Amino acid sequence: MDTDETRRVWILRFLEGKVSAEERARVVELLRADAEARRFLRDVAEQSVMIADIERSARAREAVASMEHPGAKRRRAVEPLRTRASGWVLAAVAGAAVLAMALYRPWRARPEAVLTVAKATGSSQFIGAAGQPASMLAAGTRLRAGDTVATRSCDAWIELRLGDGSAVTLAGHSALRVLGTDAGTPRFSLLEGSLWRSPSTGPRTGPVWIGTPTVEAEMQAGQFDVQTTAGETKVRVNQGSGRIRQILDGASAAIGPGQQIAASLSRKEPLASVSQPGPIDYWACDLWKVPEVVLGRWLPPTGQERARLAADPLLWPLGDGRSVMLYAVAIAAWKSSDRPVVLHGGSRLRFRGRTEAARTVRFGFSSQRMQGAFAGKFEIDVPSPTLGPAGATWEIDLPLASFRPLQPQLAGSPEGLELTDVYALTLEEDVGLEINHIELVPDVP
Amino acid sequence: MELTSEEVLQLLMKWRTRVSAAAWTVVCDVHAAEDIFQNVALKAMTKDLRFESEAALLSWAFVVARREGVDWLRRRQRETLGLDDELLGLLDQEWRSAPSHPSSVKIEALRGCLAAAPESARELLKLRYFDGHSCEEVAGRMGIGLNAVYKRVSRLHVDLKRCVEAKLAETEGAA
Repeated sequence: MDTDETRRVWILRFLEGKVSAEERARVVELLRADAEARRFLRDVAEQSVMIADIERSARAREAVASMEHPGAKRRRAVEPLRTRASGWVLAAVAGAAVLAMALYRPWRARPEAVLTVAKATGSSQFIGAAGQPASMLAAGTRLRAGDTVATRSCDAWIELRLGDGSAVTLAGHSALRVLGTDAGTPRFSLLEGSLWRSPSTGPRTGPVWIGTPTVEAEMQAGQFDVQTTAGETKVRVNQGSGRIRQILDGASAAIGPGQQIAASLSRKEPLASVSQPGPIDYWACDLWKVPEVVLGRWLPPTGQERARLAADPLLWPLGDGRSVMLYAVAIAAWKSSDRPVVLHGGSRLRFRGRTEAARTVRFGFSSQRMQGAFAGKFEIDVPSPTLGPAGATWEIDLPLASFRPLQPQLAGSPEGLELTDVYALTLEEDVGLEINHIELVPDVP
Repeated sequence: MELTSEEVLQLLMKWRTRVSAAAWTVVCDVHAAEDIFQNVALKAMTKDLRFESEAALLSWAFVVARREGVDWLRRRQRETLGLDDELLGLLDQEWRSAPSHPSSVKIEALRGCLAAAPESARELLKLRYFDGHSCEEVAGRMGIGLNAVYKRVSRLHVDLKRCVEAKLAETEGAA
């Protein structure tokens, strides 16, 4: 084996983690010093993802071809794969569908509409099956297989009407792809975020099929909601029933009214439906357990703080072509609690953090109706003298009653609403805002 | 002048392979890397971000892909390879500055090179990268020695690179 091949084999073993600590240090040093070694690493990385793309496209074409062939056994476009990577199959096939649309000619005539946009509130995005984006989603837009709709902020939502008159509402920070219909059942892929299904006021509410990165849900008539991230999905049913299938291992469970199912790539318990837990009014965000961060970046821990979440920049549109730069930390509270967190007017939000320069810090939270849609954001500005000297850690208790509602037409007070996201930010200047702890404390009677 | 949403999406699709590869250098899992690219694209399209230029978009995309990779590892309580931020940043910089072809063109070139390669070579690469088997597991499945697998993978990467470059040069010559 020549020297170059020796080095390449070293790098391949390093990428698998099959090297000792001493060898690892030598490979890292080699990569630091040798441009050829880095070039090989980049080639391996690119070729591996391209090989996977080619394999996925081939499988997606096979699946589509078998659906189109007359008389072929009907099967879903997503064929579960019993491989180590099966947990990512739905995301991979959804990605392959996007890739196929971007790379190949459309393989069939324009499919029929599956649902219609009834109302779009806030900032939303529509990406058509052929990849063409549109930044405003208008009521009356008809969505077909391959179309994707997404909401761009926590205060946006999209109400979609199905053919049977029932509604699917997409929440903020969410994305939904229309997959089409199968034997008349509408099929969707919830890529991220949440949605609610509300029954029709007409004679019949039909079934729907919803895929997420973690589960496939066949839901009969009724009212339910689905919340998902890349590795976890929760389904809560209030009316009706359904069956949930976990992609990772094929396990399935029935779900009925008042029940919920949580499926996670990292969960070891068997898939099972349980009674929906009652809400809690105390919540502490253990940042060191790495909750679902909406915005922010992790800093290394210090002796005093195990968890440090630093603000990230975010350009926020103000309208009329103007925008303002925010430096914000945001946590998805609903994703870091097994139970819905209910807000009371007498509760307090406690933040611990610091800034490197003295500035006003804006604190806020977003809310939704229990088992319902977005209910508004609430904010308060705290001037720097209240927080204390720059560089020092502060801890501040903020009564929810002192937060101003940004959408008073939705809710004038947070009483009885469910906590979704919590955030802190500074305007226009990066002053090194860092958050170490967040807690919701109910009022002591 | 700011990039439009359509330009952002087109540029991300053009650079898709390299951004996904940047994620792969952190997670070493092609499916996670694909998922991370989709998250990067979704963020670029849905987070009210504005980019003044292709360079600004790519700089952001590489950093976010890397960060998402670290978060992915952390959620699964897996260790990083040991490539620090400085080295990953150097790799990203070299990706951004190296001559590039659109991802779709490179993928087509690689598809042609793989089609011309022996079946055993295609199977080895599929087992290793798509199915996620270690080289040791691949060696067991294919009935060959572990060192032989490493050497074959190493040579395949070199041969595929030469083949892809040749095909891309042909395409440019024809154009």
